[in-house]
Amino acid sequence: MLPGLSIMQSVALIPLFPLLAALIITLSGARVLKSRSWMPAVIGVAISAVLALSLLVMFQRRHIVGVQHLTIYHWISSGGFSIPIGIYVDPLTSLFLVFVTFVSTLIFIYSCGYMQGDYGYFRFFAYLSLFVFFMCTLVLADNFVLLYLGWEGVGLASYLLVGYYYTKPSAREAAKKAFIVNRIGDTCLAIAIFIIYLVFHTETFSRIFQSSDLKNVGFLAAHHGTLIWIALLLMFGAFAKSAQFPLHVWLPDAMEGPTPVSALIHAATMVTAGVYLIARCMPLFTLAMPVLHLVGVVGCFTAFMAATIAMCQYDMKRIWAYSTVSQLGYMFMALGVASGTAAVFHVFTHAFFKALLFLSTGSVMHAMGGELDIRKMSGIRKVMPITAGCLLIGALALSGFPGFSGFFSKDEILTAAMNASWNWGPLLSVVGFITALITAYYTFRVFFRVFMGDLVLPATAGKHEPSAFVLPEQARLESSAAHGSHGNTGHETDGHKPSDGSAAMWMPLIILACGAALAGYLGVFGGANGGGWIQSFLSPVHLLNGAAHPVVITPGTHIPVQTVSTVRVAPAMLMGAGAVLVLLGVLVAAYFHWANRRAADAVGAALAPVVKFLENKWYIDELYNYGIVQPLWLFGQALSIFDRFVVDGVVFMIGFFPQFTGYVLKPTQSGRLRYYGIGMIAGVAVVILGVLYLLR
Amino acid sequence: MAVMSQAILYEYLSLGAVLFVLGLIGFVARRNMILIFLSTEIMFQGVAINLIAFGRYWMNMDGQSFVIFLLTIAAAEASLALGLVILLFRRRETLNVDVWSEMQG
Repeated sequence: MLPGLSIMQSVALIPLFPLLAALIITLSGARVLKSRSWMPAVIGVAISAVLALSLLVMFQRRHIVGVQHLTIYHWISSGGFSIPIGIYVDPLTSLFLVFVTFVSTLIFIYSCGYMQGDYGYFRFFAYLSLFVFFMCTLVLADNFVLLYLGWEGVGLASYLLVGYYYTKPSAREAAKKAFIVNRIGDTCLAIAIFIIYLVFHTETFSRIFQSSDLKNVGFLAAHHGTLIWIALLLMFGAFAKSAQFPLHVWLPDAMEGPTPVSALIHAATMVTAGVYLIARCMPLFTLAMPVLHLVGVVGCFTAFMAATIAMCQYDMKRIWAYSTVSQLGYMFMALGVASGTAAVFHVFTHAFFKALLFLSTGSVMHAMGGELDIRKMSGIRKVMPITAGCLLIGALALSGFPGFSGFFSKDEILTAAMNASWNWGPLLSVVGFITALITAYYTFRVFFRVFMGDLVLPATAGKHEPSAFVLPEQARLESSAAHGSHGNTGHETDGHKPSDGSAAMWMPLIILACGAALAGYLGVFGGANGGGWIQSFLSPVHLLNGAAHPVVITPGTHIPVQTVSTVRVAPAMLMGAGAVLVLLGVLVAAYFHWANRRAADAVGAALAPVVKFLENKWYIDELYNYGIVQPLWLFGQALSIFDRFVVDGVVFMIGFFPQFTGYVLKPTQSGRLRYYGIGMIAGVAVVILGVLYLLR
Repeated sequence: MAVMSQAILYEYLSLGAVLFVLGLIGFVARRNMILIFLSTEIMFQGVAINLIAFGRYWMNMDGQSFVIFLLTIAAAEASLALGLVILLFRRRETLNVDVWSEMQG
């Protein structure tokens, strides 16, 4: 692709351009680049996007087929243990690379406008580029250790960006929460990697997944329990990164970061790393069916729970955050019924429409002076028409409105679940349909509340967003402004009319809107045998949809793994049912939140206990607090007492001994010359007498 | 040169010991800084006599050469010590050594 380099060498460069950008910005951002810090970042990630897209085209035109490897060099090598830095490229990698770099490019461009004038502008772009580097490393890695490096790296970037407004206590807390909750999953993943080495004596994907051991009955019988543990630990790793119950608590709080970060990291890309991990390790998961089923059940439950919570939240970003958790739940549900294709398809469409929703929300936030409470604004389509249009398309796609991308991908998941060979599949599918109804409701609740109806702007509208940084000078400036005669000086005077913002902000919105509207058609048209393009594109990926043949573990025990073995309900029927439910949800939202808002309040009052339960997010944070945080705090207190009395006691005792000795011997130092003289003479006398005695 | 007999050596050694002990008593008992200093000089001389007596007894020059160095050092020390004594005297207008007891613990 690049002149003078092979295809694989060019692919290996994809992560390096953002890394280079991050380095350039870090080194020269503060002094040289300043407000031009976006340039290296946007250029770096755009080159990566072009390379990733050409890789996709190569696969499509069959210039490259199947799985490709390139070992760049040996990273860790000790005796028989060797970890290469290498890349593993198959259609799954290629698809992930394309949407990661493409969505990143758009969000980078958006950020140029959105973050304009913010303190630490260059820092933001450095972190963001670093994130893209790690994310590309994660999906390109050809072994578990390198994948783990990318995995930790994106966690680090996420931590840095959630805590970007580090002077704000809530942002600091959210960053720590994200980091600690992710640590649980990371530890599980690390242990899984250790066990994988013990079982397979290698960490390289191709050697593990294609190994003859996985078809060897004796090996499988001997390692059945171990394989279950590997899958279980990988699953927990994926759950923490992808915010699945019970490790989902960090994601809604992560919305403390700047909005483009929420769009890129906490909606479109990083949180799908868990889906990637399980899809990639599907050959291992198909040998541990109970775990795969657990993935499906937890995903389904998370989808439902997060959707119900989203119904009763008032902060727009928080609603989209719970919506992300819910949509990730759908993806895990698809993985649980061994339909990796459906999961990846939903990852792909979700990246577009969720990024679009977040960025549109960012524009609203920008125009409304940082206000995001949907109760405080209404009818703002009149002041920001482009944003309203884009958010509408995003909402249609998210709710799965017929014809938009979410419709096709969600339908694919629900069909796969309904017709899975696993008996619980239909149950998951039914819950999925109910969740789809709720999704349509909460999505359009936001849209109708905020964009339709009479124009109501919050008091802060049109003012510059108060910078989240409380720096000493600014604090002083603001307090002097409050004491001034008008109370309205400084940066608040140069306010602007609420609008769609600069072209850097609305152009990416429009491109994402096209993606959100049309990406779904890739799953219905353009493929072989009348199927979708995505399905035929991903078909070479090894065991993405489970094993084709039942695997015999011990004689008489079969593990049947087949994606769609039965056709319980015709796909067309399911599609129709999905469409009806979505329309119902939209209509309910339209009635309660556009036509007759008083009715919504009345219903809310009638169902007060339920609403309170949902507003408090099922009290899961409280459960964590009383179940884990408080006991840990008490344990810490106990340790502190031990430290203060036992450890410190020993240290003081050791210090006390020479002090006491000195106190006892103190009177011997009189300061009189003659006593020193006598002491000296006595000493010499003793020495001489001693010597004489010894020599006698 | 006639060889010194052992009896005469003992007499010389006794003289040195007497001088040394006298100096020692003076060093401990006196309060006047100059006298204390002189007492130490007397102790020096006691040692020097011993060295010379032994040198004569064994018929070699070791003792004498030692003593020449010893005297040189004692002279240098004396000039230093007297300077210090004068300094201390100027501070307190007295030669009583008990005034200086800052080293008390």
